[in-house]
Formats: sequence, C-alpha cells, structure tokens
Amino acid sequence: MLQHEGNRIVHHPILGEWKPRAGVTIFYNGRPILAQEGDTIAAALLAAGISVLRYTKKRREPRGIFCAIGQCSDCIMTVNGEPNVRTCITPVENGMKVCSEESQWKAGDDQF
Amino acid sequence: MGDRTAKVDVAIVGAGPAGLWAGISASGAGAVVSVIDENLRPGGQLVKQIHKFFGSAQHHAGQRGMAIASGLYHQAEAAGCRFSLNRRVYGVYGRGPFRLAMATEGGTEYLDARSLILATGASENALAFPGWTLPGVMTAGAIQTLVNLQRVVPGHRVLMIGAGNVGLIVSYQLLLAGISVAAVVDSKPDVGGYWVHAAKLAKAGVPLLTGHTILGVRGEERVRSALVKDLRSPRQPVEIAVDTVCLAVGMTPSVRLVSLLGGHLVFEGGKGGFVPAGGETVSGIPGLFAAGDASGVAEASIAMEEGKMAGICASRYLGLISEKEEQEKSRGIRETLAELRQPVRPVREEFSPSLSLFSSPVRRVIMECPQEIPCNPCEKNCPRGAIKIGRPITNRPQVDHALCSGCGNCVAVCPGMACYLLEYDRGGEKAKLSFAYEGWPLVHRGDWVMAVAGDGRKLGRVQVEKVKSLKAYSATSVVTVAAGPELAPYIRGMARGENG
Ligand SMILES: Cc1cc2nc3c(=O)[nH]c(=O)nc-3n(C[C@H](O)[C@H](O)[C@H](O)COP(=O)(O)OP(=O)(O)OC[C@H]3O[C@@H](n4cnc5c(N)ncnc54)[C@H](O)[C@@H]3O)c2cc1C
Ligand code: FES
Repeated sequence: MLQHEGNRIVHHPILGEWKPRAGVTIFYNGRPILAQEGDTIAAALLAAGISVLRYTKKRREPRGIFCAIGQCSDCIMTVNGEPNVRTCITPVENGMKVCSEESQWKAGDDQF
Repeated sequence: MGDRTAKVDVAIVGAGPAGLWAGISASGAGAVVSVIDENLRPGGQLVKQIHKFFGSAQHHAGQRGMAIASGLYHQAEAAGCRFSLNRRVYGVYGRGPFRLAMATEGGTEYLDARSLILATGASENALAFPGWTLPGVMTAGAIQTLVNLQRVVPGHRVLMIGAGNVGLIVSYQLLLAGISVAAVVDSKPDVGGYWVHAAKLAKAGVPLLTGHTILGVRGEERVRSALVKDLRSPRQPVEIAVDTVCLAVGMTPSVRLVSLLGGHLVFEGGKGGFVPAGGETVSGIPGLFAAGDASGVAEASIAMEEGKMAGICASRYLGLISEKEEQEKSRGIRETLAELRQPVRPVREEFSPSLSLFSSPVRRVIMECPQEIPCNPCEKNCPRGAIKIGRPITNRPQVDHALCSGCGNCVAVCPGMACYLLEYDRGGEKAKLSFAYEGWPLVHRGDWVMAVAGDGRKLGRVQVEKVKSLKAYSATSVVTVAAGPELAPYIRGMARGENG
C-alpha cells in the first residue's frame, strides 16, 4: 500500500512524513525484532506483524491490543523476566527480552 | 521516596481541555495551581485528534485537536500553572485539605490541596459479542493511539462499530492513514454523530449501515471476518471480510475519585452514566469541583467552559474572588454553555441543496450543512462577513452570495468539509468546483482525478485547475476542478485509493 512501508504509516497527509528513529533490537520469544526508539513494545510487535501477544492461562485463547492505554491488561507479557507487564504503555529498550506468558505456565494451569 | 508533601491552593486532576481551562481560570484569580495528568503530554483526548475540531471558533474550533492541546498548555503555563505529568492519582484522603496520592515511576508522591478539581475525562465503553476478545477487536482510542501517535497499521480493513461522532471521526482518520473502512455499523436507525462527519465517509464510499448490528467475529488467531445483521430484515447476517473491528460505542464519565471521596453520584443516560450530583460543585463536599467529560460526556468547547467555571468556583471557595466577581464571571459562561448544550437532532430526510440555486452564471458558496450543530469556524473565518450564523451558535449558516469574493477560506476551515465553491464562466458554458481535500496522494494542477458525488458515486474524470494550500489551511488543500456545467454542481470531492 502506497502510504505504508510494512506496517509503518510513512506518508500521512496531516502528520507528514515519518522520521525513522534510532533502531533498537528486542527479542520476542527469543527471536530478534527490529524496533524504533519511542515505540511501545506492543506497537513494535504489531509493526513486525505480531498481533497475538499472549494466550490465556485457562482457556488458551489468543489476546492482543485492546485499549492501547494501559487500562485493560489484554496486552500483558513477561518483559526481562518480570511478568504481567502492560506492553502497550512500556517503551522498547535495546536488548529487551519479551515473552508471551505461556513460557511461565506450569502443567495443570488450565485445570480449573 | 520519603514523605515530600507539596501544598497548593488548587489541585486539578486531568490536563485535558477542562483541566487546562480550570487551571488558567484559577491561576488568573491568584491561586497556586498544580495540574496533574497520567500522560507525558498534556491535552487529554485532544492529543490524539488530528482532525479539525467542530465547535465554536472562540474555543479554537477549526484547528486540529493536537494544535488546540499545545495552545492551551502554553496558555496555562503562562498563567502560572505547575504541571505534574506522568503521575496517576490513585487515592484521595481527607477533605480539608485533600491529600492526593500519585503513582510515579519512583513510587508514591503526595500533594495537599485546599481545593480539588476533577477533570478526569471519560473512559471508553466495550461491547461483548462472540469473538470480541480476539486480537483485532479494539477500541477507537486504541486505533487512534496506534495510527496517530505510534504510526503503526492496526489492520488493513476495519469494520467500525458505532456511528456517533467518535466512530465517524476515527473512520475518517483511518482513511487519512491509508487504511480502508469496510463499513460503519450502528444499531440505531439514524446516524448519531453529525451529518457532516457522516458525509465525509459517504463521499469516500464507506457504507453507513444504520439499523444493523454485529453478531460476532470469526477467526482463529485474529479477526478474519465479522457477521453483520440488518435488524429490520429477516435475512441472514452477511459476513464481511475484515481483519479489525473498532469499537466506538460510547464513553463513561471517569468518576472513581468522586466515589473515593464519598461524593454522591446520579445516573444521567444523556451524559454517559453516573455523574457527580450537583454539576460543577460536587454536592456535599465543600471545595470539590468537577468539569468536562468527567461531569457528563460532551465535547471540547463545553469542557473548556466547564473548566473555566470550576476554576471560578474554586477561587470563590478559597476567598480569592468576591461573590459579586463570581457572579459576573459565571454569567457569560452559563449563557455560552446553554447555547452549546442544545440538543442536536438527526437529519432524517435525504438532504440535497436545491439545484435551481446553481443556474445563474455567478459564483456560489454551497454549504451542505443541514443540521443545527454548535459550530461556526466558517463565519469567523470569512473576511467579507458573507456568512452569518450568529446566536445561538446552532443556527445554520446563511450566505450572502453578493458579498462572497470566492477566497475559499470557508472551504478550507470547515471541520465538516461541507463548503464548496461553484463558479461558471460568463457564457455559462464552463464550470469549476472547489472542495476541501486532505489526503494521500497529494494532488497537483493538471492532474486528472476521479470526481465523486456526495454519496461516493464516481462521476467521471476531471482535470485539476488549481490547488491552493496556504499555511493557514493547516494541511488542507482547496482543490478546484473544471467540469461541464451539468456535472460541476454535483461534484463533492475526488476518489482516493481503495476507499474512493
Ligand atoms: C475521536 C474523538 C473525536 C472528537 N472530536 C471532537 C471535536 O471535533 N470537537 C469537540 O468539541 N470535541 C471532540 N471530541 C470530544 C473531546 O475530545 C472531549 O469532550 C474533551 O477532550 C473532554 O475534555 P476533558 O478535559 O473533560 O477530558 P479529557 O480530554 O479526556 O482529559 C482527561 C485527562 O485526565 C487524565 N486522567 C484521568 N484520570 C486520571 C488520574 N486518576 N490521574 C491522572 N490523570 C488522570 C486522562 O489521562 C486525560 O489526559 C472528540 C473525542 C474523541 C474521542
Ligand atoms: S491493551 Fe489494554 S492494557 Fe495494554
């Protein structure tokens, strides 16, 4: 699409041209993802085509961005080992390790 | 972080238009004011709004929301307000003074305030249907954050739920970002938002499905389609292929801090839910005031006036102004508020301006503004005084065509993009039509473009004769196309990309 490069809106009639910011690498479940300084984690993942941020513990349903302002907790992931981080309001940092929460599950978690 | 409790006369929670104006007004009366907001950037909802605001020119309507936000912030700073940003107020203890607990990155900070103004805005409503938790279903605020602030594509084809102003405006913002909108769905029989905002989408060929509802979405890892049902027909629902469903189904006033203080709430459906009893002076709690969407979901001009009023009430409570001064200052505000709060009725019948109007070989301003809405930037920006709205501000614009010089200011400034200029040459053989255009790709003189009618119908290719883009137009261009005299009166814009 004309206005987009990948999932980034580069040409905008009101906001102007996108000025790329310094590159930052984060690791999503171990896989390197190129992000830009100032991105939130969730936006950087979306820009890389990732819209499922986690699966629910009991019913194993996918969840993604819902409110994007830190209100609903749909976007929580484990960031640098800390669980339940709202990725829609947490900015990326170089070398950050971001994991979907299922990496924390133990056997029997879905038995309720 | 030890107990560093700062003290102020007035604490204001929320740096949206209501909070900023409350600050300007209380500072003006000599109060020491602190404005607190959880975001890094002040402006509240305005920060995400890239469209030209409808409303009264006195309240900066005609400017883009983000520009209004920075203007008000500078005004508040100049008035002496202190700002505490990136702080969320999570608790209020005691009433005299009010002690606020604010969450910061480094821990809790406290602030003691003799008077407290809550300008906390509103939060978005959700809507549950089968599949609503799937990635790809998100709120209008989320879409705006991603598209306008983060500049990331949330999805390539969006179904909008809700034809109120938020749903209509966010749909238009999606089109500006090059994202297609499959349709706008609303269960009500009429479009709830303003006619002019719906008209922008109609021109772009976006179907407005009133009397329809969403039954559910399909998809495994992400939305793949949505099921939409016509509520008036026994027919089966239709499946619309989309990867994103946007919820714009209303807002609820954020009144949690009022509840924490034991303030009395009353339910008012027209204001979005439970609101503090007593209006700007929250009844039963001396020194506590509320303003803006927190005291009833409305719009920015109203939020600004309510903020001013709350600032005046707080100043009076603190003894900074006399009762007489309070009365004098609030009289004008009450009048303005009464004017702005007039109910807006939907436009029922199909609107089409009378064509006989166009037959004379002169210049005409066409104003497709059929609804009584509180909006007047066209009047205020006409250098010749050819457009009259007057008071109340909900009057429809009247044009004195003899006074019009054809400058195009109204075309550029109208937040509804509902003004057009029609010109015939002397013989009446050639005609030109000028319309407002904000879009990608940019257009240039000499380009051939696809002209569209008000309902999005393609009328044929026409040549661009002029593109006027002044700095004062703020990224809007006035595009003039040449067309035959039979066609020109029907042209309302040009097709852009997929949605046109
Ligand atoms: C898509 C869209 C388009 C719109 N278009 C128009 C338009 O064209 N014209 C118009 O007049 N109006 C428009 N509006 C409405 C207008 O934006 C709102 O009515 C107005 O912003 C309300 O102002 P406010 O100050 O009451 O609240 P807000 O602008 O919502 O500001 C409230 C602020 O308080 C902060 N806050 C809340 N609780 C706390 C807390 N506990 N601690 C710290 N901070 C807190 C919030 O984060 C926010 O920044 C639009 C709204 C939307 C969503
Ligand atoms: S998407 Fe709602 S908290 Fe992040």
